[in-house]
Amino acid sequence: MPGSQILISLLFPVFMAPIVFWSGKRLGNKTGAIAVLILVAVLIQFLSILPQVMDASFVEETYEWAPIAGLTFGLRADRISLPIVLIIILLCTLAAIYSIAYMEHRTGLGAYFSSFLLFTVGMVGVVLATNLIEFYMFWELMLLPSYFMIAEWGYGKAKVIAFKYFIFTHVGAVFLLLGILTTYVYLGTFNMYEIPARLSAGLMSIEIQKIVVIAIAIGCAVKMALWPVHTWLPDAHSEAPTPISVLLSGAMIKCGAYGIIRIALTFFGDAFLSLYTVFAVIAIITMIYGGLMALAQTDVKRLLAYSSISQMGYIFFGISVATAYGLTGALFHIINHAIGKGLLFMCAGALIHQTGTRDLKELQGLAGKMPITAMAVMIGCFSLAGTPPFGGFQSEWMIFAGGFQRPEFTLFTSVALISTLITAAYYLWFIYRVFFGPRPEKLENVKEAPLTMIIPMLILAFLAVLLGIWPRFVTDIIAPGVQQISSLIK
Amino acid sequence: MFTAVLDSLLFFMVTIPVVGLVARKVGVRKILDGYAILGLILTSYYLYELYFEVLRNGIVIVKYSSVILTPTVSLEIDMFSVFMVFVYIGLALLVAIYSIRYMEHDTGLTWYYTLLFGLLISMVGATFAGDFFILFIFWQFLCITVTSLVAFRRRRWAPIEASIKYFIIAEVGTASLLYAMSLLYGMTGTLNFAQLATSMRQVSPNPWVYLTIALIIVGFGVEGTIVPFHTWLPDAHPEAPSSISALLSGALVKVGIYCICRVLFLLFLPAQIHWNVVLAIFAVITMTLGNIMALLQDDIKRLFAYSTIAQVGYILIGVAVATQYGVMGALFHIFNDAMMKGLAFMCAGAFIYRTQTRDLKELSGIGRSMPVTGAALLIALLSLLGFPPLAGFVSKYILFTSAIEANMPLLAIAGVLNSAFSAAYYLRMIQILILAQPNGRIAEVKEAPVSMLIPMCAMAFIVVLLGIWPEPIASFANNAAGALLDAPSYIRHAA
Repeated sequence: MPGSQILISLLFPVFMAPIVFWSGKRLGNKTGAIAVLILVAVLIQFLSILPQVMDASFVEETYEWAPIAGLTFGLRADRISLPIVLIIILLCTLAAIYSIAYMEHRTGLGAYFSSFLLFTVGMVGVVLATNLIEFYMFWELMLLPSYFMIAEWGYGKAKVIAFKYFIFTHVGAVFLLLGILTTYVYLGTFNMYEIPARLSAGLMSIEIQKIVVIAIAIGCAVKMALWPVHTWLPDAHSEAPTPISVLLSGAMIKCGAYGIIRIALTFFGDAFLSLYTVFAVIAIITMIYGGLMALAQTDVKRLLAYSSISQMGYIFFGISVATAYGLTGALFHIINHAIGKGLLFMCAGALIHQTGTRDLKELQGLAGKMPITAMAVMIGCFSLAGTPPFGGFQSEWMIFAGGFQRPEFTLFTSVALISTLITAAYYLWFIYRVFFGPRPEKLENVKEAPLTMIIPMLILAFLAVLLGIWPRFVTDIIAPGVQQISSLIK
Repeated sequence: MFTAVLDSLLFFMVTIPVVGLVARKVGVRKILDGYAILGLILTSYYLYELYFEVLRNGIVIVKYSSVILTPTVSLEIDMFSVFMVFVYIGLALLVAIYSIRYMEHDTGLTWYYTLLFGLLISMVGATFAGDFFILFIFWQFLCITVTSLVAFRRRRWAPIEASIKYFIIAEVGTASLLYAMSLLYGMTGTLNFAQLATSMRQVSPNPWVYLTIALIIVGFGVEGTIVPFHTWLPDAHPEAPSSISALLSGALVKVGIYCICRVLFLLFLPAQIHWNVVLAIFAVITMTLGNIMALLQDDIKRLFAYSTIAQVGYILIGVAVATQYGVMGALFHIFNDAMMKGLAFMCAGAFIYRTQTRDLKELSGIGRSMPVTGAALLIALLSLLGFPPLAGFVSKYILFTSAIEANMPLLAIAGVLNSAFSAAYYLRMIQILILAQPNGRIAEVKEAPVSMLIPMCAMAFIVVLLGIWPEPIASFANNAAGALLDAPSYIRHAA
């Protein structure tokens, strides 16, 4: 059916989920191969939309969902949403490949991989939604499978942690819903792209707009795990099964950042700009707090989880400076962090899978035993620490350059720069600790991780290098899209 | 005589004891089950015909005369009544299929089915009534059948106590109703709804009118479990057989709501006498109390009873809003709640059938031993929680937006906050029943029998389907809401 390419691509995994579920009973962890094939097909579908988006700046599909309740179901791929969709699906595909080996000893993999597919659909749906209720629907759809995957296949006190994760995010979602409903009260529409016209008709005062922006920002901040609503993240990300940590840190929390950009910043620009100092302060606190906490961790995955909090601070800072440069940097950093943190969690998973421990005090001198993992970890760490020539350097540089473009942000940006030092410190310590130094005896028999785990890591490492050398590969897609937003916020 | 739907129910109620006797003599119990299901299928067919008749004519009227009554309109059926009866009969059919296995260890199956049909007759009769007097007769019949059904497992004391409690509270409600009726009769000299409406709409607000409204809300509010008239429900639910709990929550409670809507919308203009503000306050109290109390329960059926009370609160939002969109949301939620809560009780019943316990902690991890039931319960709970894209989300969304459109944003905010708060106990149930690892006895429990799974899977499917494609039921509910608000047409037809 031509003209419904996005809808079909989006729903394909939903229809395949039951098949994956049933085949899981017979095939065990080989079901993963089916899930990977499905995700690859979806990835190819969305890649094929890219040329259209480059030509026409966006591709939109609209369907009548429930006319009686005034609901439409729209999907819009543009220069901002499509790159994020692509990175999410890519990360999901790689994490699915990775799961095949990583989850081989676990049970109930049919349910695991079908939840995995639904999780992907939730995240992609959030990014493509054009209707606020539809956005909320996918927002919650993203929560449910991840909750089950943490509760069912997580480590430690998985059920308690999953409960905390659910309640935190659900309460955040309620704020989001209140923001959405307030918008509807004043503007009488749920369609995002009708908002500017109705705002310019003076239907909503700036005070109300601020309330909406704050409500939406709270909802998204919980998902992004900004300080002070971050406490669910270190637990959830460290106790989730590693492929899910990859997706939580690499993809899901980015949906929060995307929500702020897409709704608050794009459509309520004036209100957003009147609050941006508050947002910038929260961003800086998040950056530094996450970094300091990461320094204090002795658990590999917990360190990476706190590092994610810190990195979300970078992204939020880039958003809150609200200049074209900063915003492009933030969007680019979403992609770089997805690659870098996805890579690092996969490496952490490889370490756990091969050594059976995740305690930094027990891991030492593994560079000789796991050379590929060691190399991948270094690429990931250097990229996120902002070392040239890796992807993270390019995007962090753009974020801070964007900050300096606003004279009133000079102090903030200078303080924010300090956090890059902290980032470098904990990553270097992490690398040194795990891969160098004397090797304890019980790690003598450690081998390199299996191929299905190594391949996704190599692909991500390659991308981290590629985006460092050739950032225009991404920025050329994003920047014209950002220009359109910036014109809205003056 | 009383429309084919009621006649067919009456016929089956009267003949079930005979068939029961034959079945006992022959020694094949299934004859009785089959006969009851046949009765419900036949009734559904008549309802289907009635639906088209109403669609053609707008309103169907049945006149009835006797020695004591002058010829008068006794039944007046519009789309609103048809919608409600559709909910009752649909749920009852699923419950009857479920009952085949669920009730197999019980004695007195003949009684059970007779009372089930009696309950349906009283509910359908109250819904079709075009006259307060007729309504009252069916209402009393309703109280008696529910009292007997709650006490169905009469070998233990608890069901009898619950049934006596219900009976006393319900009779207080009925007395209040009778008082309201006599006031109305005193003011207008008639009990016919259409004539009452013609007269009452001209009466300017005075203390007697307010007293009447208060008495009506109390009278029907007992059956509708509006807080603070709800106290019988949490006792009655755990003690009744689960199939009956499903009907009580899914259908009986909705009769109370139906009667409140019918009488108040027809007799009193919300714009003139602000009864909807009172209902708005009741809505907030009802859902808040329902949700808070649900959090404290350890008995799975008691928890669902409080969850029903909370859902009534949401439904009242739509009634209080009093626009077509709001009432449509309320009706849609009535249908959804019948499905979700019916499903939840059936799942609870399946657990009880296999384990003989209702205690949440003892049932820990049972969802893993009974995966299909567990999955169905999961869908029911998520839908009750208002999780998109399930049916419960769509109707709640309509309710909340209708409150906003009608300029009652506080009502919407109360609803949203309650909805978020309710996540705590639904999630707790998911954690305990479905995610926990089963141990000991629970680990060896087998999946529920197929004939119980069939209605459960059907309902789970409906809940999912309506979330994705709400149009069919939503437009039916919209027609029904239109019929309720179109009082002039109701009055004109009866003349």
